Amino acid sequence: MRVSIAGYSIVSPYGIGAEKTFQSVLEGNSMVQLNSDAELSPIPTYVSKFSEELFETIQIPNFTRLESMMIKSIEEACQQSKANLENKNTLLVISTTKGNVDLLEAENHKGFEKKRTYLSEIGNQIQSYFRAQNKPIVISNACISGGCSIELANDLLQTERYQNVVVCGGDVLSEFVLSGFRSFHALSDHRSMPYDKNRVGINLGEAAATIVLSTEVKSDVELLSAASSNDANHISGPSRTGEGLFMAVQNALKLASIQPDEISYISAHGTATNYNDEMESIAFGRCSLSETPLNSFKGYFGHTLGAAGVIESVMAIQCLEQNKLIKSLGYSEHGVSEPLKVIKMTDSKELKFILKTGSGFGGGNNALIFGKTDD
Amino acid sequence: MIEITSYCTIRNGKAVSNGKEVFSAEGDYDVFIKDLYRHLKIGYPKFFKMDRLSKLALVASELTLLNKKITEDYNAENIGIYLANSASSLDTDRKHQETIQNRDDYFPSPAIFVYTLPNITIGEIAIKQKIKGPNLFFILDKFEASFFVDYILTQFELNKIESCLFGWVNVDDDNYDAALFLVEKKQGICPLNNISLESIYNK
Repeated sequence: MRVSIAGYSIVSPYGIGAEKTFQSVLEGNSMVQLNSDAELSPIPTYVSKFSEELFETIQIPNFTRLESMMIKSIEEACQQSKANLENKNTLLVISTTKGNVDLLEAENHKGFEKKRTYLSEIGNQIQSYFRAQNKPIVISNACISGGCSIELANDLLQTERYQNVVVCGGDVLSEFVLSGFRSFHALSDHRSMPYDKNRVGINLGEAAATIVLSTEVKSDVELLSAASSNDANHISGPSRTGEGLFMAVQNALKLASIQPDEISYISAHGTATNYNDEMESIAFGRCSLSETPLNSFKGYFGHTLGAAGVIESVMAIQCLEQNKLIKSLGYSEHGVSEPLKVIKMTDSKELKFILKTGSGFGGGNNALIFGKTDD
Repeated sequence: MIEITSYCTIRNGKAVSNGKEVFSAEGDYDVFIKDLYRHLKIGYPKFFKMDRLSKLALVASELTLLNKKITEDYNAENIGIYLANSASSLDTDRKHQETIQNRDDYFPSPAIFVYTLPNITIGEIAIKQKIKGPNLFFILDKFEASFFVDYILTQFELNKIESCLFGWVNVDDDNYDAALFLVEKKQGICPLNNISLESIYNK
């Protein structure tokens, strides 16, 4: 069963629309900026956050900040792909790490009912907005939620449960998550520098992104395989040997029936924490992918948690369609123990198969392979 | 043949394994879960560092895998873990929120924050049971037998797994509820279908 990429969208501080976002990233613009909003953090922090003017155009009355972002993104992607959630053969999958966590912080949940703090309620609200025929599935798998949701979509399409699956990932910026990562000493005090010698941690960001996968329509790009694994090693640190990520990538390659040297580009996780980037360099080395051009999009969007896997897949797919390799922002001096071909300059190159990976808290790893359709 | 080969439920002060009550006690959840842990002689000091949800998941996995040697029967990477609940990690989210509610009394802690992710339960089970296969955490309004059955069957159809641990693990204030199932491609207690799953869950 061939699974096509029928449509996609990004709603982020760059604005509304995947093409527009891609263009701005090609030009080298980052949305990560120093933010002094005292409600967000006691000390100024580098984050990627919607401007108030932009968010006004996204906010829908009676829906939360996250739901509004997601709805806008789903609308865009469905228009582009002609997917219709009112159809029985079309399912919505929602990927979010923390959901409406901003309601927990506020007095009386910003005027929303308490039940809106429950993640499944996001699915119910969005289902009623789109009058979706099927009950949406909500996934919360930490930083790999997005990649896992795309894998879930692939599984449901391959086994012919549905003909179209709309995967939307989203998370909002919150004091909740910022304070937690700060307590871990995992926040960077400047723009993050994935794979660089001077990297000190992550930037957080907010966004929603959607990808429509379909066995009904044909398109130029397909999802060839998806696989995941667990390190079974540590809940908040990656495996030192990269074993879990290695296994996920091996399985994805096997399922797609392609060799490592056929992968022409890797969109990696690259959070810019010491441990994550180091682990990835070891895992990619073990996969014979050290010579494959690689980048992290975290320097552009920050880490958008449940949106990350979807947003970065949408960016990687556009790289594939337009034959572009995008500079890994923040990288200048190699800072991981194994060699990696981190992209230093945005350039054009004929691409055929690309790999998207993610790793996260809870020990999860995920690998997706996209390719250009043959005919 | 895809069958449930072992299961457990933990709720209302009772732990049931394959239909038999193995432990019951009065008292609130925090006392009960520790008593159950001791009763099962799990001997895993990390348990005491876990949040309430992971404690429940870990004990439920021990009870389900009692007398089972799944990592000898299957490759660790061919065993899946699929969990679901309705409250995500909200129970611990509320605790983390308390640590940052007041700027004059601000003490966010990594030991709490790390548990503000529901899939940490899967990580804890994977580490204890040495399981390395695919994993996913679903958020549902309530336990939905047909949802689980259909999803687990897709994983077998695609040959992604040879066996899996799946089920419901929920903690929300005073309410706690776990129902965990081991599924294998061999004769077991009952076939994996909506009727058997519902009847076990509702017992």
